[in-house]
Amino acid sequence: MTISALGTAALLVLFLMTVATSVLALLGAVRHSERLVEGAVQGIHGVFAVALFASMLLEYAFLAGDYTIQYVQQNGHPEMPIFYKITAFWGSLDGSLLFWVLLLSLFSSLAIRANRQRHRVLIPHAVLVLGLIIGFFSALLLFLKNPFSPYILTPGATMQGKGMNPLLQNPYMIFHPPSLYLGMVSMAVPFAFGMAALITGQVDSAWQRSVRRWVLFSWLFLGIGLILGGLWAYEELGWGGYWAWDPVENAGLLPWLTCSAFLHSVMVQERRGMLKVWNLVLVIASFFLTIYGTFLTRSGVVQSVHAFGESPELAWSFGGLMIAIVVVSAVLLIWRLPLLRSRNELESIMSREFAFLLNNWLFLIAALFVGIATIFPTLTELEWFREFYNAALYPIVKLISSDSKPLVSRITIGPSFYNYYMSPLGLALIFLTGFGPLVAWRKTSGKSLVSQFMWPLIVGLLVMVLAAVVTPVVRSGADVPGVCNDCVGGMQFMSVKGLLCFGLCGFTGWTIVQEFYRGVRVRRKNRQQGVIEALMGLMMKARRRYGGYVVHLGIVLMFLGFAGNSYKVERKLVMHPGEVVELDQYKIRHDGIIATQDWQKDMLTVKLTVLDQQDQKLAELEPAKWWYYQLKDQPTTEASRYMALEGDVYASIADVTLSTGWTRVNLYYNPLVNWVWVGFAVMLIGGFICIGTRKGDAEGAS
Amino acid sequence: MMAWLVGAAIAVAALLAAVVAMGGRIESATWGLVVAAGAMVFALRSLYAMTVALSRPAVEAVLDREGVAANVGQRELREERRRVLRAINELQFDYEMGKLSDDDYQEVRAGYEMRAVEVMRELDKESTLHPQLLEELGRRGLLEEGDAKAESEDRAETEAEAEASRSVSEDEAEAEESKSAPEDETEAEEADGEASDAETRSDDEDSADGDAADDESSEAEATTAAATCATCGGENDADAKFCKHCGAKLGAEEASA
Repeated sequence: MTISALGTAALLVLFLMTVATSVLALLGAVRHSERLVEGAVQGIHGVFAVALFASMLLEYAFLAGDYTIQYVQQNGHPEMPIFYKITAFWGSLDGSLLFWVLLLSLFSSLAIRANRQRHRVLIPHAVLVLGLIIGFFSALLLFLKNPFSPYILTPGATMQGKGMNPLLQNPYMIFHPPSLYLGMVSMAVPFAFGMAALITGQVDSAWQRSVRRWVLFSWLFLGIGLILGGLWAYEELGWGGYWAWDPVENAGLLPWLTCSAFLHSVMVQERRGMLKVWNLVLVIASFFLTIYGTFLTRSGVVQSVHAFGESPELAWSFGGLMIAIVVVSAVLLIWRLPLLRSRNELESIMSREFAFLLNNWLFLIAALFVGIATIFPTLTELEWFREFYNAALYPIVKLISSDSKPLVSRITIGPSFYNYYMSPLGLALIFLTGFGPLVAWRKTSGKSLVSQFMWPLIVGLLVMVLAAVVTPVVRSGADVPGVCNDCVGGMQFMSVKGLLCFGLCGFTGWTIVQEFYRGVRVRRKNRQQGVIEALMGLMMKARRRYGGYVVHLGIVLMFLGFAGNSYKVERKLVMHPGEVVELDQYKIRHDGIIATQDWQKDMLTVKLTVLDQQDQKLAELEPAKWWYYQLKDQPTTEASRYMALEGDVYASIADVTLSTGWTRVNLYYNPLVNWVWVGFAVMLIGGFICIGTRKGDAEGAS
Repeated sequence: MMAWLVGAAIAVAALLAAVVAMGGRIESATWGLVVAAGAMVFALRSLYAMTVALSRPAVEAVLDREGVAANVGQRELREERRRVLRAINELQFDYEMGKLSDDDYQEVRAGYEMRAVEVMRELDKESTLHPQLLEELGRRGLLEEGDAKAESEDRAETEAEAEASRSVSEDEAEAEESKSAPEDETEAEEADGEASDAETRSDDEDSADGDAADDESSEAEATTAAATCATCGGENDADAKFCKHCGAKLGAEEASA
């Protein structure tokens, strides 16, 4: 029996298992039969085991170089390092679907195991929902995209593998897709429990306790995936930025936004019994968006650097699944609406629940905006949509912005469009990050308002003034025309959004400092403790709260990086060896070109030296262009950068003339960009503090 | 699970030793095959587990569930109590950090305290059978598969049955209480965390005391008249300190009456 046949058989068993599990769970729930439910629970564990077996078979095929399997033939190569052989498993469409099923079944199995005793009533329904979702994906594997389908030899075809797409052979790329998958796939668990809560009518906060950690987990891994994607784009694509609102990146951002909203609003429900419907809607929306994201990536409906390529069958399947999700959850939600009445009402605008509500709206608006803007260019390809838009929507749009035109053909939406609308949203969110913790639950009186807001506001203003004074000075050192999107009048380097962002970072940053300071003070008043001890005690006692503040701190640092983006300097020019050009306060010298090669590519490396104003050497940059033998006509760009706390000097090459050594280089100075990564690391730490298990919560850990 | 893993490790070691002994090479593909084979064994084992679960006699499954269900109600309530106490604690922390005025603090706190009292009352009332007792009943054939559900709803009947096997149940019930009482206290400690929160603590001790009192007088309590609240006229348990309908403190005269 070939591996190909065995693998297909395993997929068949997997699909049948999911069907059997779902049927058992349904019957068990209807008949209240404990035996059938137990069978279904064992079934979901079994589904994981079979998925694991199928995945390991594919891994074996890669390691052993079984090129009779089409997927291995297309993605494997005998000379690939073992590490890449293992990761080639999820390197392309079919395998990534199998990887998806593997993760989904693993999470389902874990979640069911953890909650089996606690929420006995929810279990059969959760198993049913999870079983159906896994069933959908395994059906895709079995009928549409079988990774084990055999490679039919045609005359002249080589038996040897083609090797993984060279762009993906990068450490960031190894971890970027899996962490996005982890984040996306784990959203199925909260969705299943939310659905189970709706079906059984047990819509109190019990179901949320089982899923809060899952959402946090999902949020964390989506974040890791996004930031790794950003790092990859920054280092690999060579255009000097990290986020270009690519449809596929947006696909990961969307559920991240709704998850962030949920993590905040769930606190309101826990504390005040409000927003029950809202929380369910957020969980459903998050799950829907993960499927929407998969749909965007897998179906090839959007144009993107890293869409998986066109596949109409997949587009239809995912479309069907999305419709099913929307219809089923809407029906359930409407059916259970009477049970979801809120126990309390909003008492004051100056309350934390109102801050949370606002933050939720902003997150949702952001998600809606990005979601629509992502699919919009695709929609404009459709004739009927263009007619509909011109007839119904265009008059409204024209009222808002007078320079808009009716649609005639496909349009593209560029990063500047997103940045223009998203930056005010981002600024409002960072303001709320500071505002929320300062106000108390239910209401805050005037007097405490003053004592809470005085210092953060003062610090915020100071930072803004300081930034206004410092930034033009920093700029005036170089007489290079910079890129400035929103400059005010005569002051060429004053950016309104940039300054506002600095100010708000100061405000929010100080809020966090104040929270920690006052917390430590109260704790030290109550017991004899040193500052460090009190700080640790504080963190241990209220993990979620202070972990959350650490996350906020990370956000503030990231926004510093975003603010720096307003002061970005960009030069695109042709340099010859020996030439020195100025870039902001640095000088860049061209030191020549080197040509090398290894087992899979030709490389052209340009030597650049970064000098300061006194001509002291700071660093050597080696931007390069690589031609993989496999993809001769698609050279890759390897950017190189000099990292410093205040910003990056970033260089990539567009073109090299070998005979003369003339090089077309793109030089960028990205102020504060590294704070984005630092901030993200802080955010990660905060997230892990939140997710960490308290002793008392251990039984509820899921 | 552990034993299974150890067994798998030994099997893998033996197989690899055999490969080496026969002069084979161990390369990455060998490892891939080993892992895949392990996964296959795992898959077969879970299929077996599924079959076992499905072929289990129904009675066993039901007993299993009843034992769990008995604990769940209590645990939910305890969790709710812990959550409310934590909220009060956090509120006090906010207050000490200067986020609330005195009036706001008092008002909000009163609301939470009312909820805490409510939960503690409920927790006191909740009397469930010990899972082991249930198992015992099942073993003696007193627990039928069909009416298991009705039984759990109809407490009185179960209690009557329990009386039939009093000699066993009393000992066990006591044993359970002595087990659960200290557990309550540790939980409470954890919940309020701050030693300064004297009030919450005393509330908690009250409830622990209440638990003990209930056990001793559980029989008597059912028959004696309940205390009426002076504020709203609602009926309360004889030893209630707060009214479960309006939350008002029950005066000394009611308590003594």
